Amino acid sequence: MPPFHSIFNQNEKEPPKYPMACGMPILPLRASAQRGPAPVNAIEQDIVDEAINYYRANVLFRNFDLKGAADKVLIYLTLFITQALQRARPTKQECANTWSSLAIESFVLPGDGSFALAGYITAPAQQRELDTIRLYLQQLRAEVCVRLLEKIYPAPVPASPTSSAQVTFPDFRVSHPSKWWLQFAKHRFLNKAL
Amino acid sequence: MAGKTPIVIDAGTGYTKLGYAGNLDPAHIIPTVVATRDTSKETTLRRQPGLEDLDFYVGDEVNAHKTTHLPMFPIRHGQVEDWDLMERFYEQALFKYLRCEPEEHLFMMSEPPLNTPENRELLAEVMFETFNVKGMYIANQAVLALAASSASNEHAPRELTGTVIDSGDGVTRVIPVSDGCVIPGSIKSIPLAGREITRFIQEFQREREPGVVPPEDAMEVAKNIKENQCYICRDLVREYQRYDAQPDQYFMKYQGQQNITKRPYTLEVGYERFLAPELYFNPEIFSTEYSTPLPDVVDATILSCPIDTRRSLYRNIVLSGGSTLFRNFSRRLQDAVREKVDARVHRNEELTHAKVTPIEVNVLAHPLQKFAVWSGGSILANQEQFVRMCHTKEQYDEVGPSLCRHNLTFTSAC
Ligand SMILES: Nc1ncnc2c1ncn2[C@@H]1O[C@H](COP(=O)(O)OP(=O)(O)OP(=O)(O)O)[C@@H](O)[C@H]1O
Ligand SMILES: [Mg+2]
Repeated sequence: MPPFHSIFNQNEKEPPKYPMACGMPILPLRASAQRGPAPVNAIEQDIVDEAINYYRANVLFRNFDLKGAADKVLIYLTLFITQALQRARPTKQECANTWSSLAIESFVLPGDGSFALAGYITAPAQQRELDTIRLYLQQLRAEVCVRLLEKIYPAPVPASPTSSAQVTFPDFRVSHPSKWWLQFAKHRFLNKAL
Repeated sequence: MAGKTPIVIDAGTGYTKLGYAGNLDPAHIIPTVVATRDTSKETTLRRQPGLEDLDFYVGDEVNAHKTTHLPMFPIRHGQVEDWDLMERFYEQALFKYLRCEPEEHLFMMSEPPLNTPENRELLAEVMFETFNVKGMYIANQAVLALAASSASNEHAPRELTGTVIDSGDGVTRVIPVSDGCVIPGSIKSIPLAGREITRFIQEFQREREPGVVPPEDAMEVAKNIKENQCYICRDLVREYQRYDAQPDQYFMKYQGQQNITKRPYTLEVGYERFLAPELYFNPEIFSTEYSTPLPDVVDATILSCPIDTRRSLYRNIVLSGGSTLFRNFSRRLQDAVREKVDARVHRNEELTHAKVTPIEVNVLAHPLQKFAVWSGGSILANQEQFVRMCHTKEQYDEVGPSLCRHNLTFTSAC
């Protein structure tokens, strides 16, 4: 069981299935709001889905043993989700604005002295790798924001016929970020922050 | 020797269970706490129970006298640490709760797995000298828990061999027992149990909604939620998805009322329902110091036992104590231990190319689990042979406390 690992991990002895940047695979996405180095393929669950689905479990852990290079992307995104939740806004619209700049505006890149995951993600070797990693991380961050927004401000859930209408918990019909997600932003995964 | 019904006492870190042999449940469950007046440190209570210094409270009464009396806990991590306090506690337990005449009864007393002979002597002094009991037998808690499982579960073996997992308030222990005797070098302890689970719920809720629960009620509320609404899941991620898909099936609420002002409040209860009992399977979430999951500890414990006992120890893993009552505890533990055992068997087979007889792994839940130690004591003390197993007051007067260093062994539950 936990922590949960990416299914995109592969046996290190085999030749890499995906192009690499800073020791991380450039994985396909099932959808991408922003263009970037990651191709868009018809796959069922991509690394962004994994990061969001595993988040509430994995963020509780202090250790994470890498089972492959894709796990590096997973832990980067896990820390990014925490950062995004910490900046969530009272309404969905405001949050969307805040997050769209959070996703692409200047952020610390691998190789920088203050990069939190220096022990996991290596520095780029040349300018071209630096450009690739910047665009890749931007693409991933933007996609996390788009999908996470729908999770933490979910569409109203109709009350099930068995429960009486006024005692439905939690009340997802109002537009404020779900406290059931926000509370995890207080946990420090791996004791690190981006 | 038809005498009065024996009395059974299981004193635990959190609660002391007491009652009469032959019953399934204890008659009284009293928090193991004594509150004495802050200033009366010089008065000592000795030898004359009931006559002097009645200025102390035990159990549930302690709460009402918090302003004048200081609550103190005689037992820590299962072991009696303050015998003066314990003596006061027993005094009220016997005279106020059970209202018995100790000189007319035999006593079945439980002791923690690694009790010292010195502690047995101290218990003997209190029981025989202070309370004048007619006779006493000291039994290991793990052996009693096995007896309870064996007597209440038709699938459990009759002989007292198995691995006991006792998780109460202060510690979780894994104790292998063979033919009624604990295998001493192999006992393992985990410093986490019910108290930490309660604390986790309290913190997790405060983190989500600070200020909903009045701070003075917070622990009690968390404990109620733990005992009534928590359960063990199979897989964390899958469980979160269930809550996402059907929120009104899984999120619950807790109605509370402030103790003093009676102001009502409503608390929502969510993921803590299944996260809190993860203590046993992912202790890393709860502690920076301790990270070995319970299934690994169980496996390591049994592997450290003599080879000819291992199969029977895997076959009869028995749950005991209040904190093992979470729904699905036995199933998840059984799956996890079985997976480890099967993987090892498989590796061995690949290395040696020899077929190994499969190892049977059973984790048994049973109806007497909550008070397993007490109930096991009740069953054994109700047996005809119990009279012969006890040390008597006459023997004690002749030999002294050292008499009680050793006790005969029960080898089967019936
Ligand atoms: N239904 C329940 N579900 C979960 N926990 C429970 C339940 N009922 C009681 N508990 C918890 O069990 C603990 C008490 O168990 P128990 O009486 O076995 O402990 P103890 O004997 O006092 O302690 P120890 O064995 O550590 O010395 C408390 O933490 C209590 O909250
Ligand atoms: Mg106990």
